[in-house]
Amino acid sequence: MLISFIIQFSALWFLSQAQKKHFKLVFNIPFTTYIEKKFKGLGWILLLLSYGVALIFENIPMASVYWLSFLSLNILSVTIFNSFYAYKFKKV
Amino acid sequence: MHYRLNITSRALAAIFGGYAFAVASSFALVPILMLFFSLVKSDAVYLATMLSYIFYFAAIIFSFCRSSILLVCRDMTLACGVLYLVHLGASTL
Amino acid sequence: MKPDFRRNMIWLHTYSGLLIGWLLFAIFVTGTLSYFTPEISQWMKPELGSQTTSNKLINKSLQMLKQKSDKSERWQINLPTQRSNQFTLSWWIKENNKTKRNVVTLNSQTFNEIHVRDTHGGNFFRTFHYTLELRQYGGRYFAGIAAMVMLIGIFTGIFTHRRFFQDFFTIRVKKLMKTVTDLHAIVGVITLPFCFVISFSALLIYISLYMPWSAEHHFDNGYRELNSKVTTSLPKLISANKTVEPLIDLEPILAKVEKAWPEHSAITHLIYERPFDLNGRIVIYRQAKMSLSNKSEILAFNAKSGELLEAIAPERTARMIRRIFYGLHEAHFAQPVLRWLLFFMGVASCILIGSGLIIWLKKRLDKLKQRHFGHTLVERLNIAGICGLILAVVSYFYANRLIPINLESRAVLEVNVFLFVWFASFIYSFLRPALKAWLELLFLNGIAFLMLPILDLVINPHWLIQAIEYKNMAYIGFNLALIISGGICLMFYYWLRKTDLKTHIKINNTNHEEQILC
Repeated sequence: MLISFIIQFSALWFLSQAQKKHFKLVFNIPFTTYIEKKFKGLGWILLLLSYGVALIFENIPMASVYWLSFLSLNILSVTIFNSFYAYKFKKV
Repeated sequence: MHYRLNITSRALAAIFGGYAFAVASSFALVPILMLFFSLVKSDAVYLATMLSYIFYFAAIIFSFCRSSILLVCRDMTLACGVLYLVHLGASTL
Repeated sequence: MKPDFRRNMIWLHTYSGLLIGWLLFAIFVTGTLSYFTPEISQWMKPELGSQTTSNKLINKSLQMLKQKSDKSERWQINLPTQRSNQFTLSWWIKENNKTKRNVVTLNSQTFNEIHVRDTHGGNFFRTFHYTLELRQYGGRYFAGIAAMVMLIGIFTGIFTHRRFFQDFFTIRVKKLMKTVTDLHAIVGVITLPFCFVISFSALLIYISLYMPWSAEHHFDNGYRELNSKVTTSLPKLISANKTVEPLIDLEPILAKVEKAWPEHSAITHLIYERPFDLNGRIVIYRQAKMSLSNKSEILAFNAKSGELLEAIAPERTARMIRRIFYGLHEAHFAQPVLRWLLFFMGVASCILIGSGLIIWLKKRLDKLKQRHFGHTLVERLNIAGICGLILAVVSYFYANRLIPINLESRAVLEVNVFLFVWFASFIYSFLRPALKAWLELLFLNGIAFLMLPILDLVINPHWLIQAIEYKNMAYIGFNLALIISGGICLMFYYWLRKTDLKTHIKINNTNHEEQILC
């Protein structure tokens, strides 16, 4: 379950970085459509993978409850991570 | 004044008219569920009651979206009428 | 009403949120606390101490029950579980056509009776969140209305947020109001499925109250008859009219139970129906961890022969749907990690509702030229509804520790303290300028939370020492939660005091005074 949680966090991080306003704060390289597509693809695949990992440990209904609960915490974590990372490093 | 009358009437239509619509749906859905999902009557009544909340929700959204309050009243009365007829038709058969 | 769908939804979101906001906040706060009902009850009944559970308790309990009465029609043994430390024996005796229940709470090691203080414990929050302490006055209907409005709020809130996907991971931190609005949006998004499930399941739980008409019409005995038709249960026990000695050695039965339910401390409680009858039946209940449905998993045995009786027939889909929603609402199946996640989402929902109310007020006060009593009322209700409610919760815990144990009906007194402090905070919010009231109540909350574990230690250090000895995480965890909550309140207090709210001051043209807004 912890593995599912971590994979989901990284999936959401990739999905958030696929947005230009977050990407430019972390990476110095220019933001191209190629990178956007790759990050989005990787993000979604990891997201599905995290659900699959959750399904290994529990039956479908229970795993879904866990996965959706992880999703809430992870979306908030990625958001706070992005926003305060930007704030701390004062990048314009 | 017109604004206040508008929202008050819509609110009343949403709350009470919507509830009537939901109750009507909990009656009308019983024969529909029994026919199309081959449920026993008790299961059909149980499920119809649970599904009627969705109808209540739809009615509330509807009454604040329709362009005039008269249309809201007309449409809601028609819908309740149809549902009542379904219930009536099924109970006589 | 308005030119397009989205604007109608925004209007509906704003006004439905305003009308029901404070009630919804109270329901969500007390409901979120209810996730930890047994743990709160443990802290509020410290005399119970820490109990160890084992199946060996059952035989001795049966012996005790046999001594207590020779005419009982029903015995019940509630074993201490991982979450609840209450070990009780109950027996029902028929007197003059009325069946009376006798209960005794025992120490699981010495089997001496423990005199527990008269308190509702965590159950107060659980019953409050759906009855609002107005059970005889239709409180459950108000809670149902609140649930319906919450569903409307969730749905309309999706449309209110203009750049749903673009702002998915964004919180702007430079300006205060934008931060609060973004927080409201992001919390709304993450708690969307949670709030939907909670509100919808709340409505489904009480279909007997909110939508009884179809059942009343289609069945002679109304909802009761409908319920008995859709619910499957054990067959009614028929008396054999032969008196026998009750079974008091459950070893063979327990062996069968252990084989079927291998996990540790699987049994939560046990009911022995008609113990002095030949047809006596023992029904054993499993702790709810396996499925989302709230139907208890049981094993029933014939007391005389010890054979396993036929299992209850599985329920059909319609009943299962309500069971699953009911189970999702109560979340008895949730083990600690999941329970804390659900608690986190509950807290997030409270933040959602609270921030929504604050945003409403701020946006409205920004736009207006003349302040109206309504705005003052909303402002004070915000303070009392949010800070005041939290203060009421803390004072409920204080009342539990400070009211003398031997006082009669002290449970009612504790509840009255809760309600009184809440009301007093409402009065207080009118007596002070808005910002000062926020700051003072936040400070009071923080100090109150932090002082409570200390008070607990002063009153009887033995409770905490025993809890640490037995690694009773419920008791220790509660104290820790108090300290953390106090810390958060104080952090909020210092941040609010420090924040330059001068950029939010609005000069009122007619009164020429500065109104500091939150």
